[in-house]
Amino acid sequence: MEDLHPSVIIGVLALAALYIGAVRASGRRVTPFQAAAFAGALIVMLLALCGPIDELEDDRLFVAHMAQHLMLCLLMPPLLLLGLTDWMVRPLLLNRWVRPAARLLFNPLVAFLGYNAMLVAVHGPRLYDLMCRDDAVHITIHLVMMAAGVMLWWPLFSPLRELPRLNYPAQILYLFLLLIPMAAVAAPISFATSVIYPWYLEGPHPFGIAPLADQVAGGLLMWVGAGFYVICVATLIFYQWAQRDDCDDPVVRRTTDLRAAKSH
Amino acid sequence: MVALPKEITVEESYLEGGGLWGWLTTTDHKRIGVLYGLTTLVFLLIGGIEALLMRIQLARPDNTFLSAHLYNEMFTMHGTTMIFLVVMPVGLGFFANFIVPLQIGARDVAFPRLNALSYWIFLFGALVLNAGWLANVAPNAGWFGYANLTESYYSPGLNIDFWTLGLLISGVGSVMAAVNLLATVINMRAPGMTFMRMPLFVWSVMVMFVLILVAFPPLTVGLIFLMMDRFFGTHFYRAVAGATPLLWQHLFWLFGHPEVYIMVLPAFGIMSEIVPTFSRKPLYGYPVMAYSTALIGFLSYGVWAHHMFAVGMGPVADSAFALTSMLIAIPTGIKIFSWIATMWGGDLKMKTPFLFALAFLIQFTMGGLSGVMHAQPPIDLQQTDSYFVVAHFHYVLFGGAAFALLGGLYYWWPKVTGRLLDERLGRWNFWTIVIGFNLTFFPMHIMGAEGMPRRVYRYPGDMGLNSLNMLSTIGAFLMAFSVLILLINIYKTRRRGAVAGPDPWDGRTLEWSIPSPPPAYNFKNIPLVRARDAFWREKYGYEQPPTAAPAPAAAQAVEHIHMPPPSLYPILIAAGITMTGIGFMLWPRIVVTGLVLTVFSAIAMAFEYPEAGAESEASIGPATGLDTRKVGIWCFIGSESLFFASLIATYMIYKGRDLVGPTAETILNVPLTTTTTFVLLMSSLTMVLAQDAYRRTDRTWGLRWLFVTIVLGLIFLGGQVYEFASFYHEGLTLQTNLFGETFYTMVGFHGAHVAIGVIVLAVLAGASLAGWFKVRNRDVAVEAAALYWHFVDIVWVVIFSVVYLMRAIAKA
Repeated sequence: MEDLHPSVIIGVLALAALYIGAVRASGRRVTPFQAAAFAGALIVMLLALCGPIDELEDDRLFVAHMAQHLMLCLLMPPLLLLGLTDWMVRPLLLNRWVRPAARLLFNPLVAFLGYNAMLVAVHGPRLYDLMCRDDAVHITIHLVMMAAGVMLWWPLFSPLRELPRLNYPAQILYLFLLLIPMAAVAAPISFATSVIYPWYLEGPHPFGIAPLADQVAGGLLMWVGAGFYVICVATLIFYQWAQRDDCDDPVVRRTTDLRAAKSH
Repeated sequence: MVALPKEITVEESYLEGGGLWGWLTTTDHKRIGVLYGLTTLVFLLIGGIEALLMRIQLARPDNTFLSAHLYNEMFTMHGTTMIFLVVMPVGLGFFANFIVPLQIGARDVAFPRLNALSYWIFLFGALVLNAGWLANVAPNAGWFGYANLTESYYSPGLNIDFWTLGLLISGVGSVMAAVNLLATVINMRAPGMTFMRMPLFVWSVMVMFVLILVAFPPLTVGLIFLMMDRFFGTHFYRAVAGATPLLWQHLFWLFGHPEVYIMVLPAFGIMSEIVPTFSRKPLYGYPVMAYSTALIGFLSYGVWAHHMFAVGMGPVADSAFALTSMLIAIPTGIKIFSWIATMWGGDLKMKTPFLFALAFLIQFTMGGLSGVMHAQPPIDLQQTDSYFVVAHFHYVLFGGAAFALLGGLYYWWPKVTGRLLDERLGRWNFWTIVIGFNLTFFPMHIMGAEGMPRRVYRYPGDMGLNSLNMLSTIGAFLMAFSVLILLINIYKTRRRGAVAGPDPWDGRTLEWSIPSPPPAYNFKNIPLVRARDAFWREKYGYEQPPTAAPAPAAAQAVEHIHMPPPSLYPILIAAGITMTGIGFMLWPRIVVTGLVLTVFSAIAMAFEYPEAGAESEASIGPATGLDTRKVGIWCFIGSESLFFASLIATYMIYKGRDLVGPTAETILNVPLTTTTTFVLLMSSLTMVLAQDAYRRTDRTWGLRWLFVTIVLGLIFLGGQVYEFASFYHEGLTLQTNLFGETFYTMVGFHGAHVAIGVIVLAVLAGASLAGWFKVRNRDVAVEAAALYWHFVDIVWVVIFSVVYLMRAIAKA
């Protein structure tokens, strides 16, 4: 199988080895959920980069390429973050050298703007076309995508108290805002009346799908498909919030303020 | 929060005292709510009369009661009035404004004077919108004013200008009100009032505020383009220059569909208050209800093009929008079933508010079902622009929104006035309006299916539509009669009605814990919220079902209560803005007067009360820990982002469609602008330094950095003036081509924002020189201004990338 890229296999195996090594060396345990989530992240990576999806993408199927990107940006990073534990990440991110950078990159505002800048840049016709033609560029961009995805999802699934998650309402607002740039990039692709990326015109298309129909399908996959996915995540977060925020708790928040008010 | 050392200790109703002057300068959210209520009532009557005149015209075939010209004005103004001047402001200005602070246990909204300003701007905008009637040039292009029809060569008169200007001005008021109330909900909740304990009415209107913030900017941009087309001869919607009139439809419906939910969300909220109260049960599925409200807000922003199936967007886009439109039926269905489940097994009290709630449930569901029908493009192609659609949206907006709003009126009237509305007249009101409504609008389904088109002023007598139309007209008059009963009810009970007492319905939420009508300060002691349905729990303890009698509230010593002071400036600013607008349209001479009045009053208002900004509010800190002014600026920035996004999107869409030069490729001076961009970015840095200095109370350095920031801003503006002048010199004017108009508009509006920022910073620098910052905690003013400044800089980074960088890359 020519599409079993050794670089991907090696990368995934290395991540798995690191994870297992970290658990072994620390002598601590991870929950089955964490282990499963991490494994899920690796499987998503493998499926996106080595399987039939990748093959179809190489065969000039735009919708497959879009699916690949969405898996790398929206599916893999949350699983990865859910699989990590604070004791694994702390020495990596909070050491003297990395700490300032981590603080900056995982700031929700920076993460949001950074991810969306990546999203817009990648879909620029020139860069996208270059990516399709040049393997080195392509691999770099996939790595950037995964990194930007981790940045994006950090404020929702951070394993570290020191670089914390947003509070629940802010998480939901964050996901809502994410829909806007996603639609802004996907809508022009879906509505375009000609093929935007010339690479897709330069060879035969799998299954005889017309390049323009393929492009529309890809645009809609990002707009409606991924939009629906984001809303589903927001739904899960909402129910977690509704569960955690005990509705009839007699202990009142901000007790200090209250004491001040009462002493008047 | 603004505070005046005027201490109120007498427990007198908010309605008493002050006289006319007191109402003109009021900043009390309850008085402003009442002003909104009265204004919308007047416009309800005007819009209703317009509807009756149309129904008289349509009662018989080939009728000559109204001319075609007048009929056009009637349906345009009926739609515009009912949507922009009745249903939306009654939800936003009356219900939300009056009830939200009471339900979250606050003494007023976050920015009381801004609240007054919103009202006056809304009122003046509404008057401008209707001013056309006086000269017989009322707007006449339909409530969605499709481009082409609104362009000056089809509509040369002032009709459309009144429409554009009225909507622009009143839109400013709506956005201000939404910023204000959103900041209120976020930050002014009483201790213990977490989001998960908020009454669902507050949840619903909170989503509405967000929708207003994100939905109005596209409309504003669309209206600005239309104005420029009409006044300056640009071609934003003119195919002649390569543009497309469809741009208007996209911008309008990007606003227009969320607007439907803006109108209906308060109704959902009212339902979620009335149904549990009169079923004497907690709301079924609270979290699901809250979430479905938020989800409706999410989804409503992705369905706008279902209003445009008939323009031919292609099967793919049609399918996508059909899919998202039908998705909305899910959260809406959840709500309907949750209300039914709340009633199930409840101890139902059939009072007038509850009757209206029941009617809402049935009629809104019918409107929803016909909505699902034309969410499918093939069916929509049959139904579009027919009376079927008229029937559909009246079932949603009248049978839905208006019934719930009427229920809300009967429900909260005792809180507003202290007197109950009469139950017997209420029933008469209810049955006549329900029967009249169905008589009017149900036949329209059939008329539409038979092929009767909308907006046509007469029909021939041999189409089988005669009796249906007559039925519809009879129904309309029955509804008018019903409104008359409501007015009689109001008039009769205003002085002699039954005294309501604080809690006439055995309510569940905090507003029923205070006297009716409430005292000016709402809550003597800020309540402590320990549960959802806070007041019910306090009355009946924490066990279900309610057994014990209500426990008397523990009397506590009155604190010193500081209330927002009255102010004349809101009405002056609103007058200034309106003068500017009218002057722009009719007498250019008064534009300058208007602008001066606006700017002077705004600055004067900022420094009106020396105590403003000092944390004299003893009661509680903000619920989020963030300063309320910063929360307000953040909300405003959210709205502004969408404003610039609309401008930038237009630039991108029209890129490369120019028919004549010069275009971006030939004319842009990238090196120069890169330099001024660098200067602007540096100004953000110096702004941070200024902020930091003020935070350390180092006012000397603070002032220096502020000054440097101003100079850098001015250099940027100078660069822009130079750039515009040189382009003009090279033959690129606003009218030359699409690049010219989109470029000048986008960059020009950004420049205007920078200029406003410079003025704000200059005012702050002046205040700093005058020693204003010596009072503790006033550095927040610098921080708020800085937030705005940084935002404007970020917008420039985007514009610079889109316009200049892309062109540089294209060249390379």
